[in-house]
Amino acid sequence: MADLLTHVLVAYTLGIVLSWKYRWIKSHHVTMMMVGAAIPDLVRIRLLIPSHAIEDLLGIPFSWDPIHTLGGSILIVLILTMLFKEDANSEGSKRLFLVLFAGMVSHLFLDALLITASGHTYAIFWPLTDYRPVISGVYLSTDVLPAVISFIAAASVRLIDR
Amino acid sequence: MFKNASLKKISLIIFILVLLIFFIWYGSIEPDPEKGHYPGEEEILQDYGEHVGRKVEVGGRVIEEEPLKIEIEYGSEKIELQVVGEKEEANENDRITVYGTLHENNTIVAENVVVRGYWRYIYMYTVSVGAAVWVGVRLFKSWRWDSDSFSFQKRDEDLELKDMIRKNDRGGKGHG
Repeated sequence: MADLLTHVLVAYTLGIVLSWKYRWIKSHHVTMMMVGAAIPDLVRIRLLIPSHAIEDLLGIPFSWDPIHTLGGSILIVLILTMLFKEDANSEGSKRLFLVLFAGMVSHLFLDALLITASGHTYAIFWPLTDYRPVISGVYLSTDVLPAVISFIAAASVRLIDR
Repeated sequence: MFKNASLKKISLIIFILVLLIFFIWYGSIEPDPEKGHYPGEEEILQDYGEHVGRKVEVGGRVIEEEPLKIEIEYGSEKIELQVVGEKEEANENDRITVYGTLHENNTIVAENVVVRGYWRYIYMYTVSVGAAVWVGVRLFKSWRWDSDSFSFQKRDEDLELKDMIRKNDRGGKGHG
């Protein structure tokens, strides 16, 4: 996982750039795109409650990892879409779904570019397939450069947007 | 998208249930090198002998630099592994991930090693917390929790930072 700052900065940039083409994208939609970009990192709940602790407690297999896959993230996007209400009509919900989804996809895409020891990335398309594609990564989760580049991009689009 | 309140509740419950099923399903998936999923800390600590001679991918903390030794853990179980073969410079407390062949005597012959410095880890978690706060503040500015509809409602007007500090919620009741 790249650091969360990089993910939300990329979503912020993406949201503002898309708002130039799609006029319905307002500030709160950009925020929701940033929320979407944070969804796969909810998998870090395992730092507080490790998967094996739940396995030991319940006696059944358990893993938080689906949160960081396409299938699990889409479910969380759907859950959040229902927990946020922009207006009385369904158009608002559709828009919230779209921005959450776009942010989430940007996160999964960026994390597929991470360098791994085996050369295989994570099971990005699970549950459609548990194959982990071979991708020659370009950066580490602990690198500083991705955050610096995304900060410059975010600051630039904000200036242009003003 | 969900005009009917009952349909919305039922859908919400279904999505949460499917997510729970996903957690159990994924937890039951065994490593499969054909699919790029190699045995890791969990499998090695549960049955070291079964994985000797096989390709594994493990992550752990550097506990000795020369010879390079890492400590891998899963739950309350821990073992030390000596890393030979492909070398990367690593310092004590760095986190490294090793892809290679597991041998007897707690040794792994590495084909590739990825090193993440200790301080870089601290950096990563620090900026991640900062980012979470930023998103949280933006959320609070635009949304408020409405317990009647059991949902976050868009505020009529975004809160200003000074309003948030004063907790002078002009947008309505509750906190978003």
